[in-house]
Amino acid sequence: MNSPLALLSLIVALPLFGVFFALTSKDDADKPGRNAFNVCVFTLLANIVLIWRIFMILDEESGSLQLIERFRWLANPEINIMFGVDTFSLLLILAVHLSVLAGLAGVRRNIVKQKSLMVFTLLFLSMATGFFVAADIFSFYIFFEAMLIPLFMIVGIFGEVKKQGTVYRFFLYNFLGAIILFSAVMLIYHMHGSVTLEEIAGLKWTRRLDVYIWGAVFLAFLSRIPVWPFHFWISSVCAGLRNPLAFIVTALLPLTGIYGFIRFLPEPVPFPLNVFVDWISIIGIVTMLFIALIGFINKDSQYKIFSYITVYYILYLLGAFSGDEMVLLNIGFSLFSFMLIFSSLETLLTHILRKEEQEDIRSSGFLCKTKRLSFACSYLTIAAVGMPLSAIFINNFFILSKLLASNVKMGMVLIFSLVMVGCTLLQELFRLKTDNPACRADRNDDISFPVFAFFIFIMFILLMSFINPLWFVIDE
Amino acid sequence: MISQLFFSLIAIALLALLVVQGRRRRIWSFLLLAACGFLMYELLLSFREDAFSSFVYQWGGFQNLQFSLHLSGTPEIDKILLSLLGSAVGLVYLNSVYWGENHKLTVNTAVLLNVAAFILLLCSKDFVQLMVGSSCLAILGFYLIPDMESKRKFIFYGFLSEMALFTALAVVYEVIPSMNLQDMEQFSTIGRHKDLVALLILLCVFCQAGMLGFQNHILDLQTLTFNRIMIFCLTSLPLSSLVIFTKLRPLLVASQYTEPVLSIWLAAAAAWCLVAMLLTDSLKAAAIYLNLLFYAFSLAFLGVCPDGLDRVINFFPAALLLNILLMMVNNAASNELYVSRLGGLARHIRFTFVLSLAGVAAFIGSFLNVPAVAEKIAFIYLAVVLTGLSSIMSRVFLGKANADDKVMALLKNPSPLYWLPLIGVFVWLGWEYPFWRNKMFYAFFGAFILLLLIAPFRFCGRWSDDEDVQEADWFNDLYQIVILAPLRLLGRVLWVLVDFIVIERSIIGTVAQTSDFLVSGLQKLQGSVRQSYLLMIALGLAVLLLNMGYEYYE
Amino acid sequence: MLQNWLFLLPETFLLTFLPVAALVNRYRADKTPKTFFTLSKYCLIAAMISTIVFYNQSPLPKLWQNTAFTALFKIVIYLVGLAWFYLSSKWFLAKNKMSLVFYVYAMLAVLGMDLLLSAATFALPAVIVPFLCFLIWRMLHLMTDEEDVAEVSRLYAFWSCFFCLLLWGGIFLFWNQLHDLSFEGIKAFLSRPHVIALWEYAAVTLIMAALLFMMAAAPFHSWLVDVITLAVLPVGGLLTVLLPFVCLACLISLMCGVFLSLADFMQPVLLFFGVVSLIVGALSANGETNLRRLFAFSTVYNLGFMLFGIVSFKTVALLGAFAYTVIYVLSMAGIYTVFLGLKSRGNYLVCVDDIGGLSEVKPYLSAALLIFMFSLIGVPPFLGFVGRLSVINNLIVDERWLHVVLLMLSLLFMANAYLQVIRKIYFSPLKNSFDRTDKAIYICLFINLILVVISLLNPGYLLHDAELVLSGAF
Repeated sequence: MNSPLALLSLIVALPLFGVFFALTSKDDADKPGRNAFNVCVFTLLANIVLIWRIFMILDEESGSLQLIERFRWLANPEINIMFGVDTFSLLLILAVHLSVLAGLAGVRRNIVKQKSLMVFTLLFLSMATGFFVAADIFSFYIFFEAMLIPLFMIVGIFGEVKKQGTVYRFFLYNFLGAIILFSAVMLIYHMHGSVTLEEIAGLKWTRRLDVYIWGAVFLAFLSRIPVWPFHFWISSVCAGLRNPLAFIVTALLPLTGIYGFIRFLPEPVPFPLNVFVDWISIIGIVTMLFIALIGFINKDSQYKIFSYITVYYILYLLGAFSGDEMVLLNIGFSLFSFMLIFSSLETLLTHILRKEEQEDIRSSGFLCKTKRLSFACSYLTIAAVGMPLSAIFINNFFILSKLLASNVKMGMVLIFSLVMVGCTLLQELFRLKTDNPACRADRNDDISFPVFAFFIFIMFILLMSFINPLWFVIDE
Repeated sequence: MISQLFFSLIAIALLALLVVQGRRRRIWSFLLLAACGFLMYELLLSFREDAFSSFVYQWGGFQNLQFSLHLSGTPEIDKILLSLLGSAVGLVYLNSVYWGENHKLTVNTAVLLNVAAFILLLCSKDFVQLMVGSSCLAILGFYLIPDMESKRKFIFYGFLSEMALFTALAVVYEVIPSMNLQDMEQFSTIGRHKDLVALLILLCVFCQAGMLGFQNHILDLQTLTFNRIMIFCLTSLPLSSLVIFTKLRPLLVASQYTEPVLSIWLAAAAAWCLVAMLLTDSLKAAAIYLNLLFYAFSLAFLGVCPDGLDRVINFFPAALLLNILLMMVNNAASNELYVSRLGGLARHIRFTFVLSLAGVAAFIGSFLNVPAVAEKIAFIYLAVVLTGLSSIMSRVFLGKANADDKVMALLKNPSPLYWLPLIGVFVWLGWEYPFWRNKMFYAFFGAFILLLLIAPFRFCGRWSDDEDVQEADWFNDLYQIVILAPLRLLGRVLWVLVDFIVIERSIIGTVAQTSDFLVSGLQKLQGSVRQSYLLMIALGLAVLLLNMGYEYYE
Repeated sequence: MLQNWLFLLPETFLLTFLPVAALVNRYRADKTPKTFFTLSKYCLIAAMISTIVFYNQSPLPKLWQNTAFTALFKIVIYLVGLAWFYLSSKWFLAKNKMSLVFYVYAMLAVLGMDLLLSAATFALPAVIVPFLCFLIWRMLHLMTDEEDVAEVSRLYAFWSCFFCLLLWGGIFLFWNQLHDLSFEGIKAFLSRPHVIALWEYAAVTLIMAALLFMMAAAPFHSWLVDVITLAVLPVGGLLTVLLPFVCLACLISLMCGVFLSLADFMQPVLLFFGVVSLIVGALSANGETNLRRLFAFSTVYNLGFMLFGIVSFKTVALLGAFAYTVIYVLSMAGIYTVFLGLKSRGNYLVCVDDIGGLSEVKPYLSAALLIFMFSLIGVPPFLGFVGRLSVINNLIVDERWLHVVLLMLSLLFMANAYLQVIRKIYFSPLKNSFDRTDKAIYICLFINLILVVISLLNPGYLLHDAELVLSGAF
């Protein structure tokens, strides 16, 4: 179905317009960057409304990409920019927007370089949206690489990472993955021209080319996912980040790898790459266990959230390898809730950490004195571990069911890892809730009512997603 | 009626939680009691009229995966709910009059919500509703516990049990691609990993019921008041274990290991509870062990009587009775918890003593009317409970008077608010189970009296002051040593060895050093000196000449 | 006859600058550095217009020939030259120094490049190449301390003379055998079916050696890096932006126009120089703390990329290389424009450490530098991606897998070098106070970025017409 309204281009371009307005916004002397922040929030909200509108036009039953838009870009080589969506990608776009909105809630009081932060955030959002609406290999690749720049700038400038070397090694490492994908894309283009993402899984080559192309594609996507040893770069950056928006944006990067696998995975996986896939699964499971254990012993709450994110991303990766349509749909729904949960948790925990650093308040027992924060953290943590408060509960059931069926031993290790990260998060929650006389927090350290209302809204979305993942879609 | 009951309970609870503010919470508490009573009456009426309603609501899912909310009544379900609702009414009444409870309205609301969650669980016809009901009970139980350390343990065990259930059902789902519990019968014929599924379900059940090895979270409830212990044990998470055990029985019987594991574990749990009851000095701990024993019995009972859930729920008032008896003693002795600081109270609070004996008699009578196949289990249970109870009661009522003067001075029998309803319960139990006609009643009661008088286990009292025994948390220590400490060590080793040494020092270090070497090497070659110019240009010219020579001679 | 004079207008206009500038210098009292820019501006514009009008007309067809191909490159040179001359005038204004000598040299350099591009006989390069070398040597001494540049000056003088001799040697070999230095004649001679003699190989080798030296393709790159480092900013910019562009055009012209039959012979050499340029450029840039030196190595690296682009000598490959080169010119022009804005207490900053925290006080300059650097790496959505795409696509079409791998790896190292600069600008605390930036710099940056955006949104503007020209030329 082709789109007469270029809605997809609009949701990609709108943040870019937001960049322009943010750049030209005036800085108040007493609240520098406030106008830029407001522009950013407004742009996000406008985009969310557009996404909602697109949901209403979309046919949820159809498995193919819809609302196709095609723009001729280069004549030689012949490259078009092509956009298209389905329910899965649109859900992820919405989740990215909401996650960034949660991150913005955490940086609303930031006064240092706020304008720059808003500009780069909008740029990242535009690139991420473009990535998810890309419908052919070149469009996909362009946005796959393009999102690295604003990400790098956000992490480098605002991440407050102590070891600067980790930041640009992080960029180079992801850049290498993008280059590898570029070589594969060029090869595919050379053989078959500019193919759409729907056609790619069915392409056939000689065995040698199969190995090279799919191997390169797998490596490129794997580089984004924190599977051992690729986890090191993202973990060393994430563990050091103190800005919630920077953390959230970084933690969205593995999502691009998983999405890539879902779109590109050939059916069936040609030999010998199916062996490669099996090895990735094994390494993935080992990584889950390993990260879960480290998260369990690590006292840094950022690392705990990182371990949670890693374990779940690898779970989705393993689910993506199954190739089952129902599992993929469940991954989409689960990812939606997962992203909302981790971004909200990160924002709230960073609020506590910031209070700890700036006002010398011990974080142990912090939640005893701050009711709103306590409620929000409790709900989100319980939802995060898989209790029936969000779509994660049901959707992970189907994903795990499939994985257990394929290999029960690996499945049990997977479950063990999930239990470990669940215990890790619960441990952290209880550390914050256990009354500590040394904690000097009081009601003034709680989150403000508007922010609390926003998180209530997020919790509402999570709860409704448990009942029906597409509850907000009103059929026309 | 079930659906109406369900929604009414939620509506009343939410109204009480969100709307009611201010001082008149006790009055609202009694109003809640009246509402419960009314609902129970309505349920009874519909049960007698055989009016079993059906309610199905398609609530979720997407594409070809739809889930339904079932709240349909059957005679068995209605019967179970009547018994539970009766117990709930009793608990609500107790909360409303119990002086030790400061948050009467909140706790009563929790009772109502627990019952609603139980309805959800009981009426479940698919996996989703089963898991949701069980999780709801876990979450509600979490909010009943005020102490953070107890909450922590509770939520960990609750989480573990939910994950075990989740995993077991996930394995089953892929083999039998249906979420309906009715389709589980096929599992014994076509199922895979039957033993694993059975073990996981047993793990879930044991965690929820607090069986041996998984009892820490329930033992920690000693920090709660008596009423909350009763609410927790009889309307919260442990109750969920019975329903799960019943509903998922077809999956359990598919494995050959279920019966031996169940037998051994429950026997061990019973033995452990008995020993603990004999050694413990705390009345609250004793109450908890009695509840754990009850659940061990219930599971064993359900093991031999698959359709016996309604019978088990019928035993709840009896189980409640024992808790109330201990609570009464605590109440009478000015809230003195420790058995070693009581003793010889029979002379001073005779009425309470007689009430206790009557309670024990009613308790014995309740358990004699069991199917033949479960008789042995019931008798063993009675024997164990009576042994433990007799030890405590003999030390409290008949032993040496160890209470201090203040306690002795303030000893008083319970007020009519307590004993009147209790007598009503005795009468009802007597009417429901005419135990006085049963010879075994006299045998058990006689044996109890004998044990009470002889007190063969009074020597266990010497460990009353021994902190190592009283404060012992052996299972917790075992978990720390066997599971948590190795995990922590493994985590540290992996972090240091793999992340730090292998990746950071070796891989990254090597790459960084290699590139630094190449860069510095080139820098040296390219200094602004004549030699570097000469070298570079000579290289270029050499290549040009070589190429020329090669092409020419080719 | 009159029309022949008309066809000479572009060169005439360029030459006219010299006497006019001399007269103005002699007789005008209130001259400023901008005065000579104004003169050069009119001359350039006039030359450009006349080039467009007479794009395929040649006054002396035996000496030089104007075609659509040469016109395309000349227009780019004039436009870039115009912009750079304008910006250079700001430098001279800031330094309060007279700009006559610079503009004289620059205009002569443009004239030389103009003639070199259009050359139809080796007699012209035989004169112009040494002339250009001489100009570069003189420009090195422009407003610099004699002591600082003495060593480099000597080295450059020596080696440029050496390569000029090589060039003459190659030309002499042709003359000796053919008595004809015209491109057509030599092309016809080389194209005929025959066994290629050693002297032919030698002649081509010697000429190519000189051209590669002029291009500063590694390992012949040392002079460019040293000259750019030591010369004043206007000279550095001119050499960085225009020289590779012109040399590439000459290389294409020679290889496709004259030495096409020996393309297979030259291919390994070009590949070797391309590989070494990539490696040397990428690795050496990493160790640099001097901005100009760093970007000089970047120039070497980009030259390697361009060489890889043209090595197959197919039209499509040439188009890709051309696209890459134009993007390089735009990006480097932008970077040097930013350099003109990096001033602290009247001094132009050259050290990477000195620009720490630039983004805090000069966000737009920093953003522009960021955009241009990422464009040079070839990261989408920047324009450089189009260039990278074109070059690599052609390599894949030719199934040169190893070269693709090499390009990718070198890209990583180059990216690392740029990241050091970005890190300083954005992630480091503010170190120096920066002087107010002239509005002209912002205007030029803005125009540059507009061109970049337009080219990005519709690369047809960049590639389509060029494709027609290049296809027609060959």
